[in-house]
Amino acid sequence: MTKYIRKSDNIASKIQDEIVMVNVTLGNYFSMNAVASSIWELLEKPQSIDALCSALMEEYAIDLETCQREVHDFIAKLTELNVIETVD
Amino acid sequence: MNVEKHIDELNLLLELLSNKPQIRESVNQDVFMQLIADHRVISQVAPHIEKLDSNALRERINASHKHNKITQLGLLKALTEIHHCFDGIPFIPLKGPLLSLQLYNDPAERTSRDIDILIDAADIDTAIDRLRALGYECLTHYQSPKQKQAIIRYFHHLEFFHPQHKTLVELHWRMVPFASVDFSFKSTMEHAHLVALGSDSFAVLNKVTQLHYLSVHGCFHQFFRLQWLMDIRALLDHFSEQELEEALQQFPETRRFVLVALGLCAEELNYSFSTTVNSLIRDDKRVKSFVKRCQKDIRSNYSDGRYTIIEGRLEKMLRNHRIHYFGGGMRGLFRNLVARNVRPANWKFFAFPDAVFFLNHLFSRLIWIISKLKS
Repeated sequence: MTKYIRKSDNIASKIQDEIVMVNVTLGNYFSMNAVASSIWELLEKPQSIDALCSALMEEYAIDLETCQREVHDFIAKLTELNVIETVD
Repeated sequence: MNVEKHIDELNLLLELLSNKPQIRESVNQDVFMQLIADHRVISQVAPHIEKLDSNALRERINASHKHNKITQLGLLKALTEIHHCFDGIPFIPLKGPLLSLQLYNDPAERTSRDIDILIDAADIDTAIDRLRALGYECLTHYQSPKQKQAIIRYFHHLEFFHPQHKTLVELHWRMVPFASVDFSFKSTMEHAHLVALGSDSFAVLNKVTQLHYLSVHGCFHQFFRLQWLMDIRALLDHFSEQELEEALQQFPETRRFVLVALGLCAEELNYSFSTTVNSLIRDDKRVKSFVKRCQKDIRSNYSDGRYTIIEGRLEKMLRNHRIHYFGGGMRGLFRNLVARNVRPANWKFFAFPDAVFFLNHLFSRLIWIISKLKS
C-alpha cells in the first residue's frame, strides 16, 4: 500500500484552524482550510490514503467513499505541487 | 502626534497583551489597528480577540494576522536561500523567524521587517560577495579601505536590499551598537543551539544569550515597540526562577539591560518575579530611571503610517545620547559623539582621501553640506 509523507522543504504556520505554507525550494505559497490542514498535519509521518480516511472519519461526519475520493484527489494535488512524496 | 489622545486604544492594547480578563471597548478601530502595526504585536493580540465585542475589529485582526504570517514566510524563504548561499560561512540569524520558532514554536508568528544575520567580522568580505551573488545590493557605500575600516569600527551592521523580492538584510558583525558590550562571535557560536527548520539546521542563540541580547537591543531603542517586550516576556516562560537569577549573573556587563527589560515586564505586563529579582530591579536607580524613559517611549509610538516618536531634533539628539550613556557610560557617550560624524552616505558625494582620513570626521558637517548640494 502506498504511503505518503510531506517533503521537508515546506515550512508551515498555523492560523486558527488553517495553515499557510511556503515551499522554500520552489518558492510557492499555499493556504489550506481546516480539513486540508488536518491531512497535512497527519502527513508528518508516512500515511496511506486508508489511514488518512480513518483519522478524518473520527473527526468529521463523512462517509468512507466520499472521504476516499476526496483524500485521493487531494493527495494527487499535493503530488502535482511536489510538496509530498511516496515512501516505501 | 499627541498620543495622549489615543490612550484608550493603547490601554486596550496593553490589557490584551497582559491577558487581563476584563477588557474595555469603545475605541477607534483605525487607531487601534495602527497601534498594533506600530508595535508589531498582531500575533500577540490575535489569540485574545474573543474578548472584543466588535465583529468588524475581530475580522480585521484575523485578516492582518494572516497577512503577517504570509509575509513572514516570504522572509523565511529568503533566509533559507541565504543559508544555502552562505555554505562555509558560520552565521547566526538574530531575531526573525528563528526567534519566532524558539519563542512560539512557529516560525511565522513574530512580525519582522528584515533578516538579521550575525557573522564573524573576518568573514565580512566573503559574506558581502555571497549576498551580492544572490542579487542583494549593499545600501552602505564605501570606496576605500579606510572608509570600510571606519564603518566596521563605528557601526554594527551593513544593510542590503534585494530589488526584486524587496527583502532587507542586515549583516551584523557586532550584535549590539554599544561599545561597552561585546558578545564574542566565537563564544556565541560555541554556545549556540542547532534548530531544524524545514530541511535546514540553523545555529541560534541559547536562551541566556538571547535574553541578554534582546534586552540590550530593546534598551537601545528604549523599547518603543511592545513587540520587543513581548518577546522577552515569552522567553521568560522558558526560565525557572533560579535559572533567571543565574542568567542575570552570566554577563555582568549587560545585567542592567536585562533588569530594565524585567522591570518593564513587571510594570507593563504584570509579570511576576522572585523577591531577589524584584529587589535587583528596585535597588538600581539607573535601571528604574531608564524603565520610566522606556514607558514614555512606548506611549509615544503612534505613526499614522510613519514613526513620529520624537517631536523635536533636540529631544531626538538627547534621547540618542541618553541611550548611549546608559549603554556605555561616558566612554559610550564619547564614542557615539565620534560615530555621529561618521556618515558613509555622504562619502559617495565627497570624502577626503585615506591619507588624511581624519578630516572626514573633523569636517563631517561640511561634507554633509556638499552632499546635499550634489544630490
